[in-house]
Amino acid sequence: METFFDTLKIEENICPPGCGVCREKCTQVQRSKGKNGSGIHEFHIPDLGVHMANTCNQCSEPVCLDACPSGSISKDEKDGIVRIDEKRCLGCGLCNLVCPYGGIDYRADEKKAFKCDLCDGSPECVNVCPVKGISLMKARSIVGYFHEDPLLKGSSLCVGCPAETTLRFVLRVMGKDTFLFGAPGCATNVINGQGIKCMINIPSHMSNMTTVPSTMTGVKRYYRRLGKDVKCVAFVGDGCATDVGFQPLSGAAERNENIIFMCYDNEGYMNTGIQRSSTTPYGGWTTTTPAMGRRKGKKMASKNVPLIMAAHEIPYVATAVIGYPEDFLNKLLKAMAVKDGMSYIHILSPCILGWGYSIPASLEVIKAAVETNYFPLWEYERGKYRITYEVKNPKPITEYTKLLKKFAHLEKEEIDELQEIVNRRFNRIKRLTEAF
Amino acid sequence: MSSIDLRGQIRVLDGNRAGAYGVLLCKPDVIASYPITPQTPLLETLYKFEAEGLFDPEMVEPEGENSAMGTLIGACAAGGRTFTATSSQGLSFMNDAYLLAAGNRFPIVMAIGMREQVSPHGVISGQQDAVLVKDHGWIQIYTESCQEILDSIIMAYRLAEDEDVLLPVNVCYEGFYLSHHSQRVEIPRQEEVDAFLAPLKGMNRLKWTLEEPMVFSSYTVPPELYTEYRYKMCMAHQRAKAKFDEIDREFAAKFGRSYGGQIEEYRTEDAEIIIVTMGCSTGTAKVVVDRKRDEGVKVGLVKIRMFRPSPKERLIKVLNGKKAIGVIDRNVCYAWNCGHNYIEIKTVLSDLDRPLPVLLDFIAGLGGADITDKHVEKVVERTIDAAKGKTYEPVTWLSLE
Repeated sequence: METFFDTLKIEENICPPGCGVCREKCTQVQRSKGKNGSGIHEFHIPDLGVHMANTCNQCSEPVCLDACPSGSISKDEKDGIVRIDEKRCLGCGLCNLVCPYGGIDYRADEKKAFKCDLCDGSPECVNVCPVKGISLMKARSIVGYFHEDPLLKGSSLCVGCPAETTLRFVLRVMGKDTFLFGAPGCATNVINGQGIKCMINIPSHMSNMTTVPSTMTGVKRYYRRLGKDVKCVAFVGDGCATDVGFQPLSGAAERNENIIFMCYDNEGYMNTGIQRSSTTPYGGWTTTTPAMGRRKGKKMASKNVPLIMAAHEIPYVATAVIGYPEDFLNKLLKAMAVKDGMSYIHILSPCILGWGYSIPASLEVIKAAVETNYFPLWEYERGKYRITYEVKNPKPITEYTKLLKKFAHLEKEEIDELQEIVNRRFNRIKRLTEAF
Repeated sequence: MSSIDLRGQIRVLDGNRAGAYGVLLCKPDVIASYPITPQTPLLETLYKFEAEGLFDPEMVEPEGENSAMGTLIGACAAGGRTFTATSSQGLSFMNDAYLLAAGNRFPIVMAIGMREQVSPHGVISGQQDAVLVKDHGWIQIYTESCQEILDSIIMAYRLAEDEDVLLPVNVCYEGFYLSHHSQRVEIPRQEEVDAFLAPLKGMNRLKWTLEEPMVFSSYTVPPELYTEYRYKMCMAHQRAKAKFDEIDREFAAKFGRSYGGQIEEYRTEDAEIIIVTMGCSTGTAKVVVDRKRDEGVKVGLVKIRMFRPSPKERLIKVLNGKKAIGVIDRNVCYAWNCGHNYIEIKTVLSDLDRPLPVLLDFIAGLGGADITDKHVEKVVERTIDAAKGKTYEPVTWLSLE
């Protein structure tokens, strides 16, 4: 059974105090169907500053389903919606007890369990929320583009590293007719495996750090001569893309080779043990930009490589992160559609060890990078710049830096400087979207 | 027919243009070019051929030599026939990819228009660029004439793509002396070269395809496998030697020109002393050998064509029983204060029958200097003297005298 389905996403803690519009709407909809209850509920705890709503996640492996003694809970194979058959429901409340998300509305007095049924696919609460805090996550729209995963399970990357997830996502969208190119770095562990053990089922090549775009050129051109259109996709780190391999990247862009080049930017040479690269941010700690004695991390700002690539005027350039998969998917599809030149996608890929955060927090870090405008999501498409994810109220950079030990030594002066860099860069992109 | 299509004709051509016709005749799929003097006109000529429709390879103009080689690596991995050329610092800058090509056993053919290397800067002839990469895994063929450049490029593809070899091959020719000087050149007909290269079509070679997904290069392979790769590459080099002799014989039968394979032996049979040369100074040296022969001196000449792999067996055979050997080196080995072929021949000495010949080295022609007949006469005379038992300098910096 396909495990990716649409689900409701509720923004954390942005509900207006006292608001219950979503619940009211749901109750009204249910009543029109002759049912009594609501699939969504608001929580207001003013003392704690908590104002939010909660609903069922439509889990891919619902524990409520397993717990139900009467078999009245089912997960629809077609739309993924978890439904309760009221006629069979005993009203025991076990589902409510086992759900870790509080997604079941159980009323002991009526001996009834009730839950969200996504209004069978078009949830009405989405339309009434006054702060637009509820949205329908259309995971199915992503899954619809997925091909078979060419990577086996398990890899020798660090536990929790988002680079593997990112590459898996990229390759599932790209499909099997892809030649994959890597260079020495973290992702090589996935692209080439270790030793003679490989975990990939598409043609892949570990190049030298200086020869990725050129080798892609050779493969692409040879197959073009044979009359075959093949996808040549690179997935390399910032050391390769923005430092030692930057000249050939620029050369391939100038020649406008029909290749898709992706840089997973973990802002340093992480596979060699955390040394600074040209994308290490201002103030960032690495082993070669220490934060001790006279040194306070990197003295200069990062190289703005996606913007430099856009200056090459190739058909498509974008920034992307795995934390915003719809945005990422759209960008991959656009890159794949380009048949007359080069596409470049710059991906922020946090490093647990090198940036200093706890294992499960990769997505939190990614999200903070986007929400503070540290890593704005934008694209350049045939002369036009566009911000693809507008951050309504950008958070201060401290909301990002506080998550990462690599910034722990920064004092107000450096934080201000970093904020200034973030503002300046975001404004530059913003102005480009207005000018072009 | 295009006025620049000289296939099947006899013309006066410089080495770069002769080399370009060699490439044209072999019909590569992908050509990558980055200019550097003195090889540039070779690549420029290929663009003229392509523009005139004489052949239709993918022409790539990368932003540097390393990317030129990278491009060929990709095309060659997928199964294509490829070509590029470089010189001097270009070869140094290409080093990263140059090693990849050999380690992956890609049958790439690359011409080196040889030139001195920095520092000091100099757009001047020499052999230092090519000899410096002698242990980078490539086969290297050194040439004496414009005709030999053309012919060697054709032979290079036969050698590189042979399933028993599968190694990249350099065809080396000295800048300016060969690259820019014109000589009589016979340009073969296309059908002749097609027929000569035809056996390659049935050869086994791994190709990088979507249909049979393959991962290369391996990342941190186990030591025993790593050693096996190295051993197999070494064996391929060893097999290339006899193969090159065979190819030369077949070439002679088809085209009427032979270069002796790994080495050319010139009037060596009854010779007591041997002059060893490599590259274009061989022509001058042959004239001096003839002159000395007329005077009754039993002197012969060995021209090293295949510098890599070492033509050890052929050298042992030809040098056995000689009284003295004089080596002319247009390159320098700082570590041993001599030229590179002096070290090569010295290594071979231990395999010769006793009494061993005396060995002298003459460093000449550096920095674009000419190696004249007067120089070679000195070489011959001093080698004769050493053979007679007179005291001698093992290494002479001839151009400094």
